[in-house]
Amino acid sequence: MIRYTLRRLLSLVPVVFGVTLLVFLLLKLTPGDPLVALLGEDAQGMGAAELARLRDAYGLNDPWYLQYGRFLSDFITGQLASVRTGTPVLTEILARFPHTLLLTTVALAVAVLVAVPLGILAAVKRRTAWDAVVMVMVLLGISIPSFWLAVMLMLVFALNLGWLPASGSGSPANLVLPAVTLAFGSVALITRMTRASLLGTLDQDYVRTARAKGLPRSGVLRHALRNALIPVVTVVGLEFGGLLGGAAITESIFAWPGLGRLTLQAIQTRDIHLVQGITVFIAVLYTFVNLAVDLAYAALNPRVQYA
Amino acid sequence: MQTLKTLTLLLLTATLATANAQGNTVTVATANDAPTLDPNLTFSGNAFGITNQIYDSLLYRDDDGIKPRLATSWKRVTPTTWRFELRKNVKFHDGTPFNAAAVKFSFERLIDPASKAPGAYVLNIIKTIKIIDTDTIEITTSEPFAPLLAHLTHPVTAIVSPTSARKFGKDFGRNPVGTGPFEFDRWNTGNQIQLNSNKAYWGGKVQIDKLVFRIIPDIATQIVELRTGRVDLITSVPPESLNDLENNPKLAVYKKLGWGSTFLGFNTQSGITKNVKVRRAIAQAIDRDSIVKILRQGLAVKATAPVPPTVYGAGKNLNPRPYNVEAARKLLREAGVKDGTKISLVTYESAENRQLAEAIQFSLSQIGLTTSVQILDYSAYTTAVQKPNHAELFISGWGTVTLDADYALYALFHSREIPVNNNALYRNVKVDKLLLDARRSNNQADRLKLYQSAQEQIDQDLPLLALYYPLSSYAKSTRLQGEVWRYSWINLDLSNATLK
Repeated sequence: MIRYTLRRLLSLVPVVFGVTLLVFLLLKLTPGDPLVALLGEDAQGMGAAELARLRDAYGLNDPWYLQYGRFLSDFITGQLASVRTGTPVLTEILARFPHTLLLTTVALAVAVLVAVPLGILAAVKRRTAWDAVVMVMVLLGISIPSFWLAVMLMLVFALNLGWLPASGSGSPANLVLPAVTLAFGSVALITRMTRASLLGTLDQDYVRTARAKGLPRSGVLRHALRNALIPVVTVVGLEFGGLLGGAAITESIFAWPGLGRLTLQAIQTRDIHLVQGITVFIAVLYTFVNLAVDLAYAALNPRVQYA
Repeated sequence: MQTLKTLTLLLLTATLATANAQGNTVTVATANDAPTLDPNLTFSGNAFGITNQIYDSLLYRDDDGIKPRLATSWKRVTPTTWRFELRKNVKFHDGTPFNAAAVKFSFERLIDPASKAPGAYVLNIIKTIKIIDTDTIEITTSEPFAPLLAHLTHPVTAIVSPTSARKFGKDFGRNPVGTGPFEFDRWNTGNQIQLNSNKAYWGGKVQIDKLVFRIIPDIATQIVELRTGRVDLITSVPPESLNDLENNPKLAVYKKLGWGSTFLGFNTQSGITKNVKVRRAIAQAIDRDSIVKILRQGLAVKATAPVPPTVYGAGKNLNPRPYNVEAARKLLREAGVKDGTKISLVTYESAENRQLAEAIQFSLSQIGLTTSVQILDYSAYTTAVQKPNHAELFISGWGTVTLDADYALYALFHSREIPVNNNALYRNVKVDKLLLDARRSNNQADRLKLYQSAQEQIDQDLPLLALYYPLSSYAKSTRLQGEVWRYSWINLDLSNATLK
């Protein structure tokens, strides 16, 4: 188990290098002047000489491999700073990440608490009105785009009813609307997965045997559930990893100062160091979440063993 | 266990309460966070809107001209030398006295190549800065430069505390210290910037206690926050929300002429727009009144010159080029352009530009031109319009931030600015000379005449057609009184504002 974990962690090294090189080259290949992208319309009015001087100062005239080399050495020595603000990339990320972590954790916790019981209900009451209602909800959850839901929630609960703040962060009340928006899509996914997986398990031979032996319904369900939850854990893990990267749209609408907004702004201003930093951060995070999911299999199912 | 503790700590940091709009606090919503609060080392409007509350520049610009701020009087001693008397008994927020040394320090910091300041060009014309005594400073430019005073109103030339700038070094942008009406309190990155009133402000008592800038990227969210009273002022109003906000009794909406212009540029070096008759025909084919009324829903004024009348030296009584499809068709035929001729238009991504491009595409179809429209992101656009054979038409805008015609006309029309700013690739020796003379002249009446002549010539050659001047707009809660809005939210002055 320990060796397996170490091996997985070691595999991070090539992942990180691959990711940085890929992002670096992609940003270099994007058409347009990186200096103007950085300065935006604020660059207006500068003469050719000014622009050339700044391009030089930012090292944008050097060949790409030199720029990449400089980036790597700054990255390894921890000196990588945002091109736009001059703040160390890690400081920028760590200022935003707690907000994203909080939002993701709450949203996903809400989603799991709602979705798993709903999924069980739909599976157990298969082909009844209950099942139909849940499946319609799932369909809505998958189809409704988050930007629309976000605006609707804001109009109803902030503007018309005045119960909740429309945006910002700082108090638990600020968390409600963005968390519900994010949870909505996940509820649909997790409910569907729970239902499908539980239905599959309930058809298994060992469940039939248990029933034939006269085990009470709740006991049967407990046995089935433990096996049915494995794919659900995978989906929850993937959702968690994905959401940790920041939900740019939801965060922007609710002015939530998370990682998603930082990423969006970094890409728009082509702040290459910040984009790199965030990408590596998310890649590492994702790897850890995946590892945690794999280890959770072993806990759920004793037949799964890692060596 | 340790991990759990760290996690809890992280979550706690995220939930730590930050002040909301309450009590004697004014909350302003802005769309983007500032990259830094160091005015000398940035060129971002998002930064200047906030640094202008913390710092002062030597001069500022009002409707009736250039006014004293940290400089009380000034004199052009020789064509290249200016002497400024500085305000006495002014202190920075950290207690450092404001004096000639602070001015010299800030300006040299801005133009020092080692600073890598994107706004250095605003003062690059300065050759030497001499301290005459504590309250007097002399600035010498490398050549006669009349717009220097206008340049000293630019927010990038704000005076910083030398003590704090030296103490914090690279981190000064997160620990800003100036002489302005508000002093820095704290900054929650991506969330809000909080300022307290400066109790010792040289300009008199500041009425409000706190000024909070909340970063809310989505304009619809800003409007909801304004309507629910959690924000007191939003720094721009989208045309589609104008009616709604104007009809709300708790809110007030203001529209003012700013420093911006939006224009349709022509490639004067290649394509059919090389012929001035074609440029004139296109100008007459575009219904600018409808564009202002329908597309901009009254949030713009039809343009009459390349720069709006708020700008010193804006041209007057130029050819109005009224909308006339028949005249346009006739001109086009005279130029030998056949029906169905293809023409290309390039612009950069924004809702406004997209609508404008479509409107122009339609107008040109009325005179038999088939327009292909290309919409690029801003940096790709600037690269595209610098190529000699770039698209025949381009839509862009210009902000004459110093409110002196030199800032726009020299950049857009002087041949030395080809191709970076002069994207029309326009070259006219006469205009070059007029613009250079106006830049050098010591006489205000002469300068105005020179700019008028230059714009008359430019209007005949028509390297670009000014479409409209976007209005600078804001909406506020009627609780907020006494704010002064000059040209843009960057200059929002809350030093005399009160809350009802």
